[in-house]
Amino acid sequence: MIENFSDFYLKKIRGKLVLLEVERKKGLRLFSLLSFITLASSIKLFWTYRNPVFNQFLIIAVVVLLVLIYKLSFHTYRKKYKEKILAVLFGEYLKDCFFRPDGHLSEAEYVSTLIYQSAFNKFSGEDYAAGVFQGFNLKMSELQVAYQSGSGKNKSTKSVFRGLMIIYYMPHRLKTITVIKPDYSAKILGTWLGGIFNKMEKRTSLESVRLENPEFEREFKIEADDQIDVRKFLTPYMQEQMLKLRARIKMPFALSVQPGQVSFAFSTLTDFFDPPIITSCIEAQTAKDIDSFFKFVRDVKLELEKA
Amino acid sequence: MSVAMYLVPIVILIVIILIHNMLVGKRNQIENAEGALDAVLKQRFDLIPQLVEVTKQFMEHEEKLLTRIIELRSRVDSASSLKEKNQIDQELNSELKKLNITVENYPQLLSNNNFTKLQDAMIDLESNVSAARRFYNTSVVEYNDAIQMFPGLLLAPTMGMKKRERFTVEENEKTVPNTKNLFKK
Repeated sequence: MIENFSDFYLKKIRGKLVLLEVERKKGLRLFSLLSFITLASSIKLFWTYRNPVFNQFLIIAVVVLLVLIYKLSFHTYRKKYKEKILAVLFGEYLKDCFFRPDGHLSEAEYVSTLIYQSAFNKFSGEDYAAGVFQGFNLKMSELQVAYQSGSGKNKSTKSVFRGLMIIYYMPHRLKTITVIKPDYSAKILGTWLGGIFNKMEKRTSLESVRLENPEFEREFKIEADDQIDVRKFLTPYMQEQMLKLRARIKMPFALSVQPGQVSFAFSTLTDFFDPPIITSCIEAQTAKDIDSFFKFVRDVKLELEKA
Repeated sequence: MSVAMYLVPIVILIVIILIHNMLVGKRNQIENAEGALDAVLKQRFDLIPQLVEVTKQFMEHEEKLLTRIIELRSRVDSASSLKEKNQIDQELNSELKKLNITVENYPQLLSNNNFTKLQDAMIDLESNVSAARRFYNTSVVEYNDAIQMFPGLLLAPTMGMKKRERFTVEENEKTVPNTKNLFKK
């Protein structure tokens, strides 16, 4: 466990990040050069032929080429970042750490968290890490879960979950199932109207739980099958910790507690473990966020041990 | 015009039914919370005689403290309301805190298996009681909000619904017990 992140950052990863920054800039130069050549050539072809059918294919070809150039330009940078930074970071938190950049949690493991109950037919992920955290097994990976419907021009994809999922197999005394998710309805419609909307879209047999902290109520909605057990875990201190984490990491997150397992889901718009491309990687924002996540998992573990 | 004449009273009736059901739901939630708190308090009170029996064997000089605990426990049987039981539990809690500190003077008791199991069970139940009280208080706040805010306040008086009191922590519970005399040198 990293107790002093600044110390760890300066001693163990800053030097590596400085070297990676050189790779990032190389990648940017290569991408800029190849993109320029591609775009210049395509513009020349566009003006030369001016055929609508040909131009349509040309646009598709240019887009595909740009994506390939992007992947090629930053391939080494991404690979080195995952090997030298992520693997080291996970190794600090997880004993007997196993890291596989192309692995991910299974569908069964995702479903077992009970956080997202919506149907899905597209499932992928990356950056799988597993090990022992504070005495108990922990697994995590990035996941992209979606539901695709229709076909051809009517095809639409709705994202169910995209982000980092952590499953922590810790035994605890609570026999209840509790699911805590971001409450978007309350934020937009207010607590009262949001509560009505939540009741209408409720899909599980779990009961809604209302707590005493109005700020917590605005940020999160809670469902549980036991009103007493959920309050043993969600003490005023735990509610404050969750609100502080929400303010610190600036991304929505969900949490579920069930016998033998605690699961966390942090939603992100982009690949969480991918290194920054446009901005410098030296500030290590991802590493700071990972540190926040593990400290939160530790806080939850301590609270469950008291419950 | 004739359609509106039928529709308006039907809509009003539906709204009244919805408000009535909402208020009844809130009241039932309080009863549910009362039941849960009552059950947990009973479990805690049932452990008290066992705890006193085990500690009496080792703590011959703490008769006054143990007698006080037994006295409070016996008051539970004659308590008629949940509020009274809750009050007794808070007084018991205060005496049990003193007992837990005093127990430090009796290492033989601390290593007694029965005692440690009972102590763990009491701590677990204390957290259950705290959670049950919070559930009760949240239910009361929701109920009070429903009967005092529009549209519930229109129907609540006719349904005989009145404001309920939450459980509060007694002043003596907020103060830390004086441990000076509890430790023997």
